[in-house]
Amino acid sequence: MKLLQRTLSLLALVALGAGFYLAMSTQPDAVQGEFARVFHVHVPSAWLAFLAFGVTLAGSIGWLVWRKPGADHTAAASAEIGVFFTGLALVTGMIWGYPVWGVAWDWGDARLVSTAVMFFVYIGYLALRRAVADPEVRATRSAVLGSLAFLLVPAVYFSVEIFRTLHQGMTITPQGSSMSSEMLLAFLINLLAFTLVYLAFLVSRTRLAYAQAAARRGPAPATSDVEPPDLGAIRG
Amino acid sequence: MRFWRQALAITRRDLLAEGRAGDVLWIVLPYGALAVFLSPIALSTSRSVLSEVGFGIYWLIVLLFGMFVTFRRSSQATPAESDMLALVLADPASSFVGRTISSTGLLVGFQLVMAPLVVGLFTPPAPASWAALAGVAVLAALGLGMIGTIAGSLVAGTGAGTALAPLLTGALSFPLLVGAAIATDRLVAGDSILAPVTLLALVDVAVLTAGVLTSRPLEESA
Repeated sequence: MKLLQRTLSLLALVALGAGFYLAMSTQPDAVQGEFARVFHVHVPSAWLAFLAFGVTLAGSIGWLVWRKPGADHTAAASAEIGVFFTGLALVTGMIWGYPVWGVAWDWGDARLVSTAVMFFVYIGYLALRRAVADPEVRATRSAVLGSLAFLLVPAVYFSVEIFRTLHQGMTITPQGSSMSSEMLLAFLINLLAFTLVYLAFLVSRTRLAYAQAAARRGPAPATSDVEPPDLGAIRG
Repeated sequence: MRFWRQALAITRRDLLAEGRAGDVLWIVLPYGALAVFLSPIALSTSRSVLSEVGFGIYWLIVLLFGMFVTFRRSSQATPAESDMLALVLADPASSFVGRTISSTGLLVGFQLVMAPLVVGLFTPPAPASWAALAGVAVLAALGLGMIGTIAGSLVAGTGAGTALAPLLTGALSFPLLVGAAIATDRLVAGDSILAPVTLLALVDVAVLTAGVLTSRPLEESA
C-alpha cells in the first residue's frame, strides 16, 4: 500500500510537470488568448470531482450492502478529494470567466450555480462525518447521504445541455472533440496527471483512515492462546 | 394496507404532538413572518423593486424558514418511540412516509400563511392561474417535507444537528427552488409550466424512492 502510494505520487508529479509544460507551450487561443490555458486545470478538476463523487457513491453502496469498513473509508476519502477538486474547478472557472465573460460569476448560468450547490452538499457530507462519533452510525448515515447527494452529479453534468446558458457545451463527446490536436494532447496529459493526483490522494487518505480507526480501537486485547508467565518459576 | 395504516398512525401521532407543542405555530411562523418584514429593509423600499422580487422572497422564505417545520421537536421520535416501533415490527418506510405527510401538511399551512403576507406587503404581479401556483406550492412542499425528514434522520442525536440539518436540506432542495421559481415566473408571464412542474415531480419521485430505500439503514443507525 505504501509502495503504491509512493509510486502514484511520483507518477503524478511527473505527469503534472509534463501537463504544465504542454499547457504552457500550446498556441494561445485565437479568441480567449492566454486565458484559455486555465482550461487545462479547470476541466480535469471538474471531471475528477465527478469521478470522486462516483467513487463515494460506490463506497456508500458498498457499506450499505456489505458493511465493510474499507468501503466507508474509501467513500469518505473520495468525498474529501471531490470537494477539493470541485472548489478548484469553481475558483479556476471564476478566474477564467472574469476576463473572458466579463464577470467572475453569472447567476443565470446553470452549470456554475449547480456546481456550487453540489459543493455545498458534499461540504455537508463531510460535516456530517465530523458530527457523528460512533463509527458504524457515521458510516451508515454518510452512506445514505453519499448515495442521495450523487443525484446532483448527472444534473450538474447535463445542465449545460438542458439549460442553454452562458457556460459552453460539452467540448469532448463520443463523436469527437472540437479542440485542435495540440490542445487535445495537452488536455489529455493534464487529465491523466489529475487522475494520478486523485489516486495518490485516495490511497494516502484511505490509509490514514485505516490508521485512525486502528488508533481509536486501541491495542488489540490479549487472546486466550497467549500463555501467562509462570510466576512461580520466576520467583525461583 | 398495513403499510398505510402505520403511515397514517405516525402522521396522526406527529400532528397530535405538534398540536400540543405548537412549535410551528408559535416559533416557525413568526420567524418566517419576521423575515418577510425584514427583507424590504435589506433590499429596497421601492414598490417596483419589491413587486419584482416578491415571489422570489416568498420561495426563499418557504425554503429557508419552512425547513424548520420539518425539524420541529414533535417530528423527532424519542428513543422509547423508536424502540416501540421496532418491537411492533413497523416498516421504517411507513414511518418515513407518515412523517413526510405530517411535515408536508404543516408546510402547506406555513405557505398558506406566508402567501397573503407576501402578496399584501410586496404586491407581486398576479399569476395567470392561482390554482396552478397552488399545485406548484404543494409539489415543492412535498419535496421539502421529504428532504427535511431525511436530513432530520441523518443528524438525529448529533450535537451539530441544528446547524447541519439546514445546510443539508437547503443544498439538496436547490432543484425544488429552481422548479418553483421558474414555474412562478412562467405563470406570471402566462407561459407553459410543464417543464418546471416536471422537474418538481421528478425530484419528488427521486427523493421518495431514496427516502423509502434508505429508511431501514437510517432507522438502524438511530
